[in-house]
Amino acid sequence: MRRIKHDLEGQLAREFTALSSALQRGLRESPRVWGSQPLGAAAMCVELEEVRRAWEDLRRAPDFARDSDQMMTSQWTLRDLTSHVASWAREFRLEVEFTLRGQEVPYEIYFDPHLGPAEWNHARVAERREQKLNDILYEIDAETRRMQELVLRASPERLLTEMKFGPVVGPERRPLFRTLAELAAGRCFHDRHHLTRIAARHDPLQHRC
Amino acid sequence: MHDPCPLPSEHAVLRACTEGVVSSDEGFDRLYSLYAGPVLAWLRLRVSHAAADDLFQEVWGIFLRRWRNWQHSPAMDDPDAKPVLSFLYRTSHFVLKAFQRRERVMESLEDAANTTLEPGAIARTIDFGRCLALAKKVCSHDELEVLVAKLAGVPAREIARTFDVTEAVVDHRYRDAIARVRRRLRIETPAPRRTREGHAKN
Repeated sequence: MRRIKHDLEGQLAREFTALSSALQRGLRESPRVWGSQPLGAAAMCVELEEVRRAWEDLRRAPDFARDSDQMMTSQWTLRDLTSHVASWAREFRLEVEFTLRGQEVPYEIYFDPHLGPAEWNHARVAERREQKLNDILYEIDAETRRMQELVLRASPERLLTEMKFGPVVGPERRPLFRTLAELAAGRCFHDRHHLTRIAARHDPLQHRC
Repeated sequence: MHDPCPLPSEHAVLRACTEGVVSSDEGFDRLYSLYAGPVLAWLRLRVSHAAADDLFQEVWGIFLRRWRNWQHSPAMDDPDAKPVLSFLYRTSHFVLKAFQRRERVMESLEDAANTTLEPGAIARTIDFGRCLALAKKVCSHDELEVLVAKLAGVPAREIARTFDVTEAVVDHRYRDAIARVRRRLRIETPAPRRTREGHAKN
């Protein structure tokens, strides 16, 4: 016992290893045979965490803020593109909040069949034009954490129930129905899409996109 | 800090997959052989036997999905990086968080007298070893999270990011956990009394 008191850390490590080994021996088949499972709240949070960390790495990358006025598209600078992601991060979160309250989103975001939600996008980017790039990145971070909390709060049934969301498509203003799980996945897809473009110019991001 | 990590490196598996020496499926199975035990141990130290087994499947299901789209980068070759162990750790963190949310909702809906988080129930179903069992009993939630991660060799940086704290806080929680277990060991096993001749007497 005196030896244990003296080397408690070593003893804990040995006990943990013994426990892990015993549990490992009891496991036979590889999880590959379980087949794919539906995306649950935790899986969505993990996906959201991956993109949150990618943005965090970007924020911490040396010289990143210096490039905020660099043109990324024919119309948008790096700051604008980041604003665009932030505005959708906020919008996704707002729509999830309505859904969790059992409400339909009480407004529409018009998607042109060819141009997408161009008008909405430009208005939201313009709103953030005076903000610093770092502040916009913090907004993405905060929105992602809030989204994670919301997803964790949702019941498994709610995650997989189709709801009408804000976007409407074309002149007939066709509504979009999605599950909350699809919305969260859409948020991650949208972030990754733009992160990939930004990563092409900033090495620290390459491994996450 | 004492490095308790007794596990072989995951880098050899990642390298073999990147170089095409082993298939993606075989790589996955090797990583499973490497880390299934520690992941299940983390979970069983936190929740009941049955719940841990379910959550274990969820963690590996999420990792399998990730593994199929795994993209290796030079940053992952850093010996301290352990990208797979880190991913499994933060996945376990979210899986536990989601589970505990569900449990709280269920408890508020019904009078759940038989909660799965009751420490005695866990201790009855598995032998953790004396010091681990004491750690489970005396450490706070945050300290236990850090302790089990450190015991499995999760990098301090990853633990810090998972909990959104600094590495100094991680170190502090680890030290606190060790100190608590040490104090409890002293209480439960007093030093042997000495006879006049200087021999130990129990």
